[in-house]
Amino acid sequence: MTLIGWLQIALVLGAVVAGAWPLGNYMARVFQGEKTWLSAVLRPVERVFYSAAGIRAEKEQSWLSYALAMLVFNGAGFLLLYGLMRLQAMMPLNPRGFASVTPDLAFNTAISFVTNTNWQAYGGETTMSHLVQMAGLTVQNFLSAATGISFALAVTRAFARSSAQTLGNFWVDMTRATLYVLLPLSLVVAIAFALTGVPQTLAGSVEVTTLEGTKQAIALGPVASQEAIKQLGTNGGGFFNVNAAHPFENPNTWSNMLSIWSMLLVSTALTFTFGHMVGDRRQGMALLAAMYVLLVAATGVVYWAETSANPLLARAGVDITAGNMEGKEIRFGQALSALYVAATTGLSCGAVNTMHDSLMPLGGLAPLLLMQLGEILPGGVGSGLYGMIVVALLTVFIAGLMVGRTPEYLGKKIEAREMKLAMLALLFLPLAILGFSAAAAMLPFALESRANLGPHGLSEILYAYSSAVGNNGSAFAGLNANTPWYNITLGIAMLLGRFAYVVPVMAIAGAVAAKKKVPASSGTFPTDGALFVGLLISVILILGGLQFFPALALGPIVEHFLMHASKTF
Amino acid sequence: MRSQGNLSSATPQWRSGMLDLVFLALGSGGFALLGAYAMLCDRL
Repeated sequence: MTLIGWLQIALVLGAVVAGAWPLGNYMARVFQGEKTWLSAVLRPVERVFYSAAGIRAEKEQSWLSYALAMLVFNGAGFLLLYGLMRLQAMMPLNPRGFASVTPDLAFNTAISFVTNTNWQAYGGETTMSHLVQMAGLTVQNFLSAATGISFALAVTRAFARSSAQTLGNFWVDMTRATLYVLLPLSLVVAIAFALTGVPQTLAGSVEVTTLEGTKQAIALGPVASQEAIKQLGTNGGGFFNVNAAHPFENPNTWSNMLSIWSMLLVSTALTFTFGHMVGDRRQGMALLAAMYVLLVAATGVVYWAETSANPLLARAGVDITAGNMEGKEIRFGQALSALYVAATTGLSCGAVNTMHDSLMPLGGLAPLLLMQLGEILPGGVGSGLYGMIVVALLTVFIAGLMVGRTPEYLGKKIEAREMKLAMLALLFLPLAILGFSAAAAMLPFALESRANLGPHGLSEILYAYSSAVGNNGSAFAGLNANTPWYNITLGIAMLLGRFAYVVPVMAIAGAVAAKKKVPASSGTFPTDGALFVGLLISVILILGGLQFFPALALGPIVEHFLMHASKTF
Repeated sequence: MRSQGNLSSATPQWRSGMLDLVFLALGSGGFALLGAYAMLCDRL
């Protein structure tokens, strides 16, 4: 690790917070229906959408109506995307003549993009036509991100309002998230990516003559536009198979920094939006502090592990002064590669500029644990905020148990019903991750997909299900996941990880919204100070540790010790 | 990196159609079950 490396990390994170502050305030005004500088242009467009869809923007919904609207909308999105991929061969904008996507892969991919996971058990540039990429996958990138933001807003309103029966209007929130936030940001960031050298074209490929004198077709396409929403919406699904390691998706240090910045921006901004809307900015900053302390710590673990490199290679006489460079791009360096690894798994992005399967054991443990902690550091757009709020409720509950007082969060008493629903949400994650991983670790046809035997093979399987349930989408890509078993089980894991988690969270929001706000008293546990942040971090780590330490001990931890004992597989 | 696996070889059209129905049912059924789960949470 070097000082310059840490300065690079600090520069990027500082730029994220600097951009997130005004964006967070802007989003608060947008979602509260206030006038913004884009209102003059976008309000008429908004009204056209509502009019065409028969939506009454002033009519708000209960938590149940909101959740059901979301499920219907995303269900329809799944059906459309599945159909588009299955009929790809007959549709236009398929310059390389790709065949229709197979049914199991289409199922997995449709679920994947609708749930904001963007798990890709295929190579984008060799499987999907431009039409599917643009009209299917990229559209879902916007809609899934807008869905997450909508839920975060609904949960925020639950705490901002007193004795309320409604949480907003799902259709209005979706429309505003897409029109006022994601589209304008994507336009700016896509142009910025293009300026760094990322291609944006409808051409299928460019033919070049190699040094050996043979012809090679290098895939091209509308990469910059897909890259922008891929990062801003914490989607992660790249145009190319190697994602942001590809020189067309991420050509240089500037594009790399822009990639990390845009990935962290909206999730970070939503904490400021939360603080603004509940009327106490320090509340949002407390959540942000907890997120970033753990994010920076994880970055440090990856950075240290990767710069320490493999002792077996050192003993074999290989020069390891650059650290572990397997799976890394020299143009990015160790520091920003480590930040990318931590950011993409702390968020639920899943974009990669480093091959996670090539990380050192402890370097791979960090992203695995970040996903297993619930994708809340800072988490996906929207999902990170509401996920963190659920853990905050658990934290105040534990604090309340310790001192024998009814727990309160932001003036709302947290009672038995809210805790039951919080447990439904929180316990679902380890059940799904460990349950599916255990099944795959026992079934011979699932084990065949591993690229490595021993503990690293277990890590590949555990990572896949952690990624799917957490809606991350990155992979230890030694695992061959394009098999019926993984396509189906990962699809189910993604669906449940997204929506089976958010349903009880919405129920919590409904229950909390209906409560009356009580003023803070001398006995109220303050949730905007260092003590709360420290307790919140402890609860996150203890919860994650209790749930996942045994599995991690059998995977990356034992692999680390075996490596030092010169045992390879 | 995204996993790159072996793509399935061509299947007869009728089998392909049956698989489409199975996966569409699986996905739609999943969303329907989630809707039922939401209504269950409302009663908690």
